[in-house]
Amino acid sequence: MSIALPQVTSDLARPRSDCRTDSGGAHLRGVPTPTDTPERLRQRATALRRTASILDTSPLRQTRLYSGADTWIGPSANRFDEELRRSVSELDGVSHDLNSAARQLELRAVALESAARAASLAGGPR
Amino acid sequence: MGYLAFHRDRIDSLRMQLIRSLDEVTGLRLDDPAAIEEKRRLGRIDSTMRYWLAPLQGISACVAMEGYEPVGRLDPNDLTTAPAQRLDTDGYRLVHDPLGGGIGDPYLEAQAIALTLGDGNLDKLLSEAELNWLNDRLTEILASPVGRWGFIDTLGADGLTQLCRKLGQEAAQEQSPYATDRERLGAILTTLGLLGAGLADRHHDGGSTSQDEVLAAIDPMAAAYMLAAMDLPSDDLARLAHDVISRAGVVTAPGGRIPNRIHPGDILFPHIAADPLASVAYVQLSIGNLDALFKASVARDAVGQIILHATDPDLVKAAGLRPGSLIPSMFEYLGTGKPLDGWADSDVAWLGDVVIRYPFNFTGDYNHWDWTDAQASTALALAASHDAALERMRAGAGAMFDVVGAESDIARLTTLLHDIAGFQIDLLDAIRDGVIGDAKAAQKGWDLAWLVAGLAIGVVAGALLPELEVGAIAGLVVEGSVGAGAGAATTAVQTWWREHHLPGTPPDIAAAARGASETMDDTITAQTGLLMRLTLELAKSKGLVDPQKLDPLPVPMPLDPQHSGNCSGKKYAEQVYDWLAQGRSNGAFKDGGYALLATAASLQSESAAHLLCHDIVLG
Repeated sequence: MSIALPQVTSDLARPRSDCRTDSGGAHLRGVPTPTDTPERLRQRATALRRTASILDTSPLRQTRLYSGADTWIGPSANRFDEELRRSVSELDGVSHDLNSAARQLELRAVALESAARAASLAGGPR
Repeated sequence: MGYLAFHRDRIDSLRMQLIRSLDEVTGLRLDDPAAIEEKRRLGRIDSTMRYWLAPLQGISACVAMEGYEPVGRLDPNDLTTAPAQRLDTDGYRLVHDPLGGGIGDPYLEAQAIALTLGDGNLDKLLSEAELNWLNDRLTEILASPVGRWGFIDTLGADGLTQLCRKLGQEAAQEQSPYATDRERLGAILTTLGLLGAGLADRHHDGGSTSQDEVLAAIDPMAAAYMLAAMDLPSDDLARLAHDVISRAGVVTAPGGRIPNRIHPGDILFPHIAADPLASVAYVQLSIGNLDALFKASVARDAVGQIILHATDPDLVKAAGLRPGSLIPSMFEYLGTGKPLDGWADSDVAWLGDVVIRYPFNFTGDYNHWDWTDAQASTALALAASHDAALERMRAGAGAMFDVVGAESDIARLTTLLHDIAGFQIDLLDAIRDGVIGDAKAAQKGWDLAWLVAGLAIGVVAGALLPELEVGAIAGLVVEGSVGAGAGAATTAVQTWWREHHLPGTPPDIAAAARGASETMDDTITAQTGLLMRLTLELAKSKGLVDPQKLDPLPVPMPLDPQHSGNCSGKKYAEQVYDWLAQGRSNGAFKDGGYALLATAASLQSESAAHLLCHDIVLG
């Protein structure tokens, strides 16, 4: 599914975006769905790592090369550069957190496999 | 007002790059339940940056869109367009920036304003609107090191001098009683303050523009306003302020009349007074011509505070000077030409603080300073002639108890008693000479003399009984002078007397206190009697007297509530000196015993006893 983006407003006086890293939602990390198997968990982890990798090479990181004093000078240029800097920093944060979430899923997969192996040993030769 | 300068093709490239970036972010699939928050954060990034697409498009199109209105023709004689003109020459296109805040580059903006001010005709560039705009921009520009660099270094000492001189001249006109444009004057003074602060901060940053050079080249009042805004080391503040104030000359007319114009000293003294070390340095610089302190301002509270700093022993030592070293010259100045004429009594209360900090340096017989006995006594008399100063001396006398510690060495104790008695005698001389004019003021003088006598008693008692603190004993004795405490003091002293098995009847402090309200003669006599008894006990305990060869110590006559002129003090002094002489001829004293007892007796000097007996009766 695609990300549903908020509507863009042209109101110049709107509050500046607060791009600080938000750790909310961490309680959902690695929560297995009822149908999760170790294999499924590893697939999800792989997808998350792929997304993180895309963010690591996002063209947004190169955008600052197009801005700066050679392009424009003024309060708006400063504001743009500052918001771009914060956005790229936030992008780093998101990438890092996606990798962390992937790691959680992988650990969960290992735990499930260990539990299954233990159960198998407990029900072995009589 | 803000300006935005841009290259159209590069703005287009930026916009296209931004679109590509956001398209990729929005194209990401991120539907894992473990990444709900990350998805929300990516949405916020997209929202933040996508907002800029419309402004970038408007700027690129150079149309009145999104608030980025094209800039019309710029007036070279309008200071507020200086930053825009600076950008307009570098191939940029220009629009108004709805965010305001100049051109967003403090160095370029500072440089642009400085170049315009330096090259332009200042008569046409400093309208009130332009001044207000300049103050607004300088507040922001000079707050940053790069802004200061761009402004101060571009303008240079010559440009800054020219600007400040122009502002100073106009400020002087606006400060005349006939000027009416107070708002413009306020704007000018604000500009001068900003320039001063910026110049000092730039100097601190390592800039080479000379503060001294600029301040020396402009009107003293303008320099004072700049200097008052500068954050400077104490020595620099004192030195520059002294230069400025000396250039301006004296402010007060004979008789202390207050002029109708403000003076640099009025601006600078409160700042100096707020900096203790600058105060010391300023007085040190002015010591050769103290008009620069006493006649340079009507801010007399500040003058008093500066003097208090400059006579503070610790501060003076920190400045590398000998404590009190500035005081003789100051009193010499005050004693000639009547520079304090016209000052309210409360304006010179600090005189009392100065004396009480160094009481023994003001006695005729003892001082460590470079002045004669007569100069010292004259200085004390000058201080004592001011009611408020006398009050400060009385209020601060208790501090002497803290300064004087227990002293068991007999030679040093004798010297200390000598100093205390000397201070006492000089005070009484001041009363005798009439410098303490009225009965109310004289009462303060008596009170102070009573405190000093208490100190002498405390010192001797402390030597006799090392376990007691001098200050506590002195305080106990002094407490007796305060009617209600007299009974308690008597009880305490009498108990102490008996516990230590001292001979004779314990002294009656309460009676002495009652006497103090009638005549100082009885009071001083009672104190001297107590002091002599304690000192004799001390001398015995140290083996300094042979009791077998001594006559009984004379006892003061009973206090005379009717003050019938029995002259108890004079008679007691004569009896004590006879007793001392007799003991000496009997060979009763040895190893400094005579000096110790004779010095204690000098608290009730013959001349003071005579004075007290005949000349002064308190109402």
